[in-house]
Amino acid sequence: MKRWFTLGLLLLSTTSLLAKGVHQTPEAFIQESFQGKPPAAKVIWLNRPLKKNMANILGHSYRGLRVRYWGKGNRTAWVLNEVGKEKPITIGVIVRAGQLEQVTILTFRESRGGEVRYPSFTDQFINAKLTNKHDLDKSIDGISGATLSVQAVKKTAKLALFLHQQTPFSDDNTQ
Amino acid sequence: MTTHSKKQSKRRYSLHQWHRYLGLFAGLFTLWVTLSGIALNHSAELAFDQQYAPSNWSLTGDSIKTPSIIAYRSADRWVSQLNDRIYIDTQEITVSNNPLIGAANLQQMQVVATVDSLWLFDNSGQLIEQIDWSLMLPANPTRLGIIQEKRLAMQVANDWYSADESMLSWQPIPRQTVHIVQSAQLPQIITQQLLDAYNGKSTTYEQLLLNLHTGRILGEYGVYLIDLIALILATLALSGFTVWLKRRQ
Repeated sequence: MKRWFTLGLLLLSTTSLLAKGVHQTPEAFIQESFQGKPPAAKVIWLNRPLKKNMANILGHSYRGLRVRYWGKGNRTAWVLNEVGKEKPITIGVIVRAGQLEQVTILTFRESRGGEVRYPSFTDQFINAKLTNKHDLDKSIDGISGATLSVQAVKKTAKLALFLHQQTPFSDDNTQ
Repeated sequence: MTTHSKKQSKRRYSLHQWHRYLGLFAGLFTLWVTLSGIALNHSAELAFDQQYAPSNWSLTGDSIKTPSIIAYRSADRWVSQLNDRIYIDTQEITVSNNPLIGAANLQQMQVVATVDSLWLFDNSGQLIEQIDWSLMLPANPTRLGIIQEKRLAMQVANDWYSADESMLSWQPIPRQTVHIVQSAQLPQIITQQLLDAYNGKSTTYEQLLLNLHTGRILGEYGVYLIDLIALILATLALSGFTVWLKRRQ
């Protein structure tokens, strides 16, 4: 019994340590998102109304005056940072025609909550859209012990959907 | 009473005495570790991780004795890094654990480069954008340069690259065209102001509690003292159990 308990503790601590770190570089994410031929980066300059909406989505003001993205056809790719508990999580998001196509945790720096990087969590975002109230149109199951990281990923997914709407690659603009 | 039972009684008395004195010694420290542990458990709710201990507290343990400052002259301003804090003159603009490799003022924009990121600020110190180098260049840059006081350049391994005006794309360029940005000695008056500001914001109450809890507040040997207390507590558990067992017999 004691042996199993010790083994369980060891496994738990190993999982937590493995969760921390760079899982994919932003460059590799962008390359992969566009099959090795990424378009040139573009930026959205943030005016006051945009920043206000972003602050509503994030629950705090966005630090920065412009956001870099990559777009082709009706797809855009974003590399965004959002703080979980104390440290920023770098998240890659691909939006296609106003729907989430992929959410990937690129770098996880916190010591807890790294479970958000697993596809079992991130795959829940696929095909989610943004409602008029800036919420996701489908519910995302949380992970116990990783509440703040889950919140950070959800906020980033919403932000990417919102920012996609502001680009010339969004459905509304391409039609 | 037989000689054997006398010996047994003496041994039990001795164990009891040891248990008592160890308990008294460890009691004070147990209180210390318990209270600091409880406070640490609730440090987020009590915002201990966001409040700083006064700089004149000598118990904070973390004040800078040998500061590590990297500085670059950027137009008429100074961009510097003091440990993990980055400043424009004396204004703290961001925090980075990666070393500063250069700074330049280009087109009303203050460019700050660390090993992992390029930071663009407007002249009031407001962040325009932070960009991960891996999104722009083939590898980690080592030096910053300027071309004709207009465009930014960066050295990666032995090659130099220059950015377009919006810093969205980078092209290889010959080394000869680049004026390399060199680090410089930060003026003493700014250094002193940065040190004062840093020391006033160097230790959060959470860090202070952590130092208390682990014994680091007493210096490098404090940790061993707490280790000793932990061992005494483990011994107390064993001796307490033995005393209880012998009493039952």
